[in-house]
Amino acid sequence: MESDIELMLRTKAGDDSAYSELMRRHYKGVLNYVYRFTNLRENSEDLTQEVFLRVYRSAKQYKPEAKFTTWLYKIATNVSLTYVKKKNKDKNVSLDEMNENTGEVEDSSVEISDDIIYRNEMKNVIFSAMESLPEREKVAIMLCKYEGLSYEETANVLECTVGAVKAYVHRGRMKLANKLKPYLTEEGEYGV
Amino acid sequence: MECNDIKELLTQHSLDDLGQVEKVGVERHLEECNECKVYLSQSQELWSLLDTWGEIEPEGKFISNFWDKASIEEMKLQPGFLGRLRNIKSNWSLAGAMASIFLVSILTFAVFSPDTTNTLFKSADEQDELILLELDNALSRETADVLSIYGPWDSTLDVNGNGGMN
Repeated sequence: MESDIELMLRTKAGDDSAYSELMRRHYKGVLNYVYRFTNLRENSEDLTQEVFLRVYRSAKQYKPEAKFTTWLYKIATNVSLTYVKKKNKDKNVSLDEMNENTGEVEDSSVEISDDIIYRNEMKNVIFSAMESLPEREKVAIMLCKYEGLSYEETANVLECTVGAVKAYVHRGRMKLANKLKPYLTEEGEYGV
Repeated sequence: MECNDIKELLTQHSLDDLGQVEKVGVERHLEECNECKVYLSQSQELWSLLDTWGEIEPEGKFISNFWDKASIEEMKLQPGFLGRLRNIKSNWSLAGAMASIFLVSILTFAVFSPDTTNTLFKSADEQDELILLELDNALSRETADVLSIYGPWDSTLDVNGNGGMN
């Protein structure tokens, strides 16, 4: 199987089928990554398209110096943070809209189970807790926890040292634990 | 190692991302420290809790939608006639350079081009001269006709004026 870098170099040479293959490999990951910033399914699809468009447009300048996913997630982070900042500025997204666009596939004819209600509630609770974190701690946790990137890859995305990433994840994790304490069964206090 | 150092390593410990020496150090500390043990347990529970925020599935037409969008974007990026005109307008430095080149060309042409002024005047003079000659001839003929009533003229009058009235 061709590596991401090989596919990207083919894309750079004008082979669009190589880029389709790259998207096939990564669009689900990017979509979910963006979705965790927005909590809106509809916008996440658009933003993911935007991420891949930016990568495609800059393919001509691509140099295989770093891992492709590092570059991809760096662009995805920029697109997502720009969107979040704009959204917070506009404050146009109502709570109703957020609840309507949960991304869960629900059939109105089927009785909503307690599990779905619980998961939906947890999703909003975790999203709020994540939103309260400083930008770098949030990105570090999302990349390490949800996207499975190593500390080194996360450090490349955030353009910092591996030690800094460890500190971001640790601090973010403690803050999250305090925010989500009512949902944790173990007793104890997290210091920040 | 202090508790804070251990707590910082617990995330890596749960990801199995520690070296052998650090791993043994963390595990030894956990056996003795209840606070860190609770922290680890909460930390693992927190990580599991974050998993309840499940993934979403992308819609099936993502890639074809992408190529549609990409071709639309490409069309937008290619400027039409007005777009090109706007680009020219907005490029003031290029416009300035072009104007300077134009002015310099005109001045160079004006200074070094051959002087055709005299030629123009010459041809005009030649025309004037012809017209004057024609006018002079006409007047001479008219005068001769008028004077003919005063008598017969010797038509054999030569060029030097010899001969004449009888």
